[in-house]
Amino acid sequence: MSALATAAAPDPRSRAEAFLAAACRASRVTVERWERLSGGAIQENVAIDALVEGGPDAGRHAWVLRTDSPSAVAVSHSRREEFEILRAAHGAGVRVPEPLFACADGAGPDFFVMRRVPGVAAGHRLSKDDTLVPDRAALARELGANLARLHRVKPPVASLAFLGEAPADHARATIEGYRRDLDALGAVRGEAWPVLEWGLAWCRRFAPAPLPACLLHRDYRTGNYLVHEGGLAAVLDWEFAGWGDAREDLGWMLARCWRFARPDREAGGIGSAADFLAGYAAAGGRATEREETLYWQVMAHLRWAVIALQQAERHRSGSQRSLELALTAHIVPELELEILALTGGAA
Amino acid sequence: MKIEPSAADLLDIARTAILADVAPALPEAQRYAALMAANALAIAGRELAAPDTARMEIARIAALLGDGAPAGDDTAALRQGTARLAARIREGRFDEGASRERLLEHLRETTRERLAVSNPKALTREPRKTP
Repeated sequence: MSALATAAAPDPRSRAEAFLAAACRASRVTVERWERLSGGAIQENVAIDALVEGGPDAGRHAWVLRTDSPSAVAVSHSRREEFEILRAAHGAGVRVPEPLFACADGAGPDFFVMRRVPGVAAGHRLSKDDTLVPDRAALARELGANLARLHRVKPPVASLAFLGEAPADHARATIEGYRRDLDALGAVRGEAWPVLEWGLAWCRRFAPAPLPACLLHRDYRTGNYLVHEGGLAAVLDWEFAGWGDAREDLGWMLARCWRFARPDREAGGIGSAADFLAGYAAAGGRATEREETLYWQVMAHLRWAVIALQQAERHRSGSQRSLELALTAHIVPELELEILALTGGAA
Repeated sequence: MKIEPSAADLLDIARTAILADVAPALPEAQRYAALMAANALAIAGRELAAPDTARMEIARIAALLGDGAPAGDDTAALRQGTARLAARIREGRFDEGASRERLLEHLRETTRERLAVSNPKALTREPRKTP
């Protein structure tokens, strides 16, 4: 890019104001507050308070602008795609921040704007603090019911064409994907992971007959949703969504690695597996026994282990030096312990 | 002669200083970073203190593979042996029977050794029932 073009590029805030004025058919939009929220490794969120003058949306609005961070992960969706996923989920009655406007004007990184939802996401707080979650059974059921609404979305959906074909056998396709991921990591690191290979071989052997595909969140867990006044306010972080077997999302939520301060509460450190699965079934989700989710809990730990290794490699390789990414490598043995406990008989 | 206090002692006292003097004075976001730094120092300290188990691990892997010890110094032998073991597990050679039990025993032992460095608290968990 030439120096001239760089100089001509609008700053992100003015760019957002101009875009929003057009999107709202307003005479003017002023962003009165522009505050970066704690960013993920993949994207950045900015809280904006916007004053809209003129047009149907005239007034003050509390919104969030979501954009790519410099270190986006290859497997995650673009902001435009995430916006379409949010729209599909919102349309299906899933609690999400309402998606409003998507910007792909080429004048900077793509972004979209959604309604700002109040609430607490931090897993260690939600699992510990009963004042945040006075009725744990109710929240566990609500989390199940909300997921059932998402799983009602079945392929094909024209606006989600970028998700590609649904795999005929999600479990087996996923296992092959993790094996390729481990091979790629092994090639650069000169390492191999026998416990993860054992878990994958076990999952390959005991793979259940596939279910028809539906829309999965693929990171539906405590830490990725907001709780406000004790209830589920919105599910966040849709960048891994895709078609697959509904039981993967159930196993992910129930996996031990997402229970934070309360490993005894199987549904994300919040409540019981029974309440979560009952809420799921009551809202039209497939009746699922806790035992059936154990297979997908093994898959969940395998998936998190592979992602943890990839994150640690970003630090180790020097592409993104970070204390948090470096420590992620040391989560892997605990995941391996759980994989062995679930697959190997008494330890 | 190395200068005393040792690396292990320095890691320990640096961690204590972060936890006792630095972290409590920080706002929440920075406190989290300080706690991560303290955790990193604790892991490094445990790694320094851990016994060298490479020889024993190589011997266990060689017994599982049953076709001779991997060659080279400990690091090379461990890498080569681990890679061969991983490949055989993927082929399904340890799916059943006595070889499965011997493999699991080895994997549990290796995982315990790794956890002793990464997260010893996880080792104290009560044994669990399996499905």
